Amino acid sequence: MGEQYTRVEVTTDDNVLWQVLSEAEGLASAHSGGRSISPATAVGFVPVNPQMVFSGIWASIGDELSQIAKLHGTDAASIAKQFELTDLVGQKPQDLSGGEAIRAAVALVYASKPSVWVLDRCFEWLEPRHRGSLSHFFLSELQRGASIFELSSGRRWFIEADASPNTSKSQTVVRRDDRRPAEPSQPILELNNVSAMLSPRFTLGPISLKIRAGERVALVGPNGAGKTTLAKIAAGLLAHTGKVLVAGTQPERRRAWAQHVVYAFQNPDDQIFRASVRQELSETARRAGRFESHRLRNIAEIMGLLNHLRLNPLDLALSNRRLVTAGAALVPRIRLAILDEPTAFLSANQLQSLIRATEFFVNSGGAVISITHDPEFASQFATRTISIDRGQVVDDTRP
Amino acid sequence: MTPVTATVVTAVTVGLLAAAPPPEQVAIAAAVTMICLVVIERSVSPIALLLGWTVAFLIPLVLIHGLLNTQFPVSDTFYGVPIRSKGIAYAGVTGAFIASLFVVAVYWLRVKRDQFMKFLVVLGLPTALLSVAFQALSLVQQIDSRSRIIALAQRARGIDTEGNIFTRARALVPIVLPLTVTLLREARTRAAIQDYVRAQDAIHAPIAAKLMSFAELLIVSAGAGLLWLLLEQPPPLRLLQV
Repeated sequence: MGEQYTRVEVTTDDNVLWQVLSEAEGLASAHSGGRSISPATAVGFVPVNPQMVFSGIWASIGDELSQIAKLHGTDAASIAKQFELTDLVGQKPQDLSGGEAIRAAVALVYASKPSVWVLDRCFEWLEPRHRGSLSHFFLSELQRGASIFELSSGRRWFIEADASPNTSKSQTVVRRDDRRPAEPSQPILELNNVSAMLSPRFTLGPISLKIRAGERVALVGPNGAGKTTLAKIAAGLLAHTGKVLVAGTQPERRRAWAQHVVYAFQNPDDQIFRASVRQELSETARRAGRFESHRLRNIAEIMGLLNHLRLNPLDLALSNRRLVTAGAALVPRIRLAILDEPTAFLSANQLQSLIRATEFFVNSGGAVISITHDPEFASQFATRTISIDRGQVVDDTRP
Repeated sequence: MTPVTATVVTAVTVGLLAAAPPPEQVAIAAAVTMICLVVIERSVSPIALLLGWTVAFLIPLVLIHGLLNTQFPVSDTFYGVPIRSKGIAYAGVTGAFIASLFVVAVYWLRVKRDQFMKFLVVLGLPTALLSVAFQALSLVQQIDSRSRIIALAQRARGIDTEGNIFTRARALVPIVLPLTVTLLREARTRAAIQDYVRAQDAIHAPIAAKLMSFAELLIVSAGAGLLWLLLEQPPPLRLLQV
């Protein structure tokens, strides 16, 4: 059986995945060449939510990996080294960042020695370096004779990643004049010597920075660098030392904070609970006391959600659910919207819609911070790029 | 806390209750196991948890049997409200009985999931049963960590999830609904991962513990004691008759 790579675009959820898994099982049976091997255990399945791969019973990533390795007769230590997990083996799975969790999940699945891989949009949350190294790994799997099914949101991260298409795209994008930041104004967000120690392994800061109205800030850096931690501090969700000022004041209560800063999390399913897209889009604005119906309509129109307003958001595809939660953060007329990996699972068209929606938000006097590993999005979206590595700001540029 | 310690406590507590000692001894048994818990854990936090659970049961018991249950004679009145001292004593003994069982529950709560899983493996349970236990434990952990993330995600959009009981009650829908939907949506995927990746993971847990035959004996004894207790008349009533 020779190598085989199949790319499947996911426009709706679930059903495509089960068809692909069924096909993969059939292929795994063929790969086994008549040996008594379970087709199921020969399939390496990396789901869209990598946390699902971890049982949660074993105390650390290292324990999880060694359990699978023992079961399948593979070497946990060498696999951990291969996937650059040596520093993470003592961590609990739930403490990993999005990108770290994907690498660990792929390592766990690799420990089960699959002959057929099914990758469900697993490149979306990876930083470019790890996206490249995982692409190389899967290319070597193909050369070894494995087969790969990649479910994709429409954008190509794997195979072509070897030629770094995203990097080249990011260099050729024509920047538009209207993306210049507004005139310097009172900072919307001000961090003064902010620090947070999440574990003995990781301390964020001290970090000082100011975000002003009109800015679209791309927060970039390696997986586990502290981007989400910094964003949570900015949104008043995490205990810290140092001072955080929102619109010149230090909000004492959570509700006061939410009137100025809204944060859309990585996974849309963690936030959606209303019965219709319209209600979901308006929920955050109503809570903040900043709801304007025309803004909801504008955002829905820009994001291509107008025809979905009466639908239940849970019936939408993952990419549209992602747009709904990002849109809910952009509808209220507030100071700052923080979007965590908003481009994950979006098609190229949806990515452009998201950029236009952030422009709409910023033009009404706000600022947007977006955590991203997507160079194409960052180059088109950002008027300022803040790079974080190992809990420190290492670069802060305004192109 | 090791599973063996929790098993010993279970066996001793159930044995004491099953032996139907005088009410004072039930209270002493509960107190001794509580003190052991504090010593082992080097913390009083388990006692706070334990008292919280017990009081939640004790208050309605005292109200029902100490004031309302006409099967107990009225011994006194307070501003015209009848006080039934025997009913209060009955509620107290029942409360001590419940506290004793809660002590056992708290001991088991302190056992880490991986230790418990290895313990089940050592006991030599059938593969199917191990697999069920493994998935149940795994789901508990996933529900726990996911609900924390969802609560934080809802706070990030201005929904109060912390505060008094009314605030928490209002936050239930924004937390429980995404949690339930997510778990249902992901159930098939989790099942697939169980098949594809770990299959019989539980069986391959590393085993280093000793005294397993003793632990097995204790578990069987505790199970038999509990069964005997349940088949008899309600234990608190029996204790009052002593």
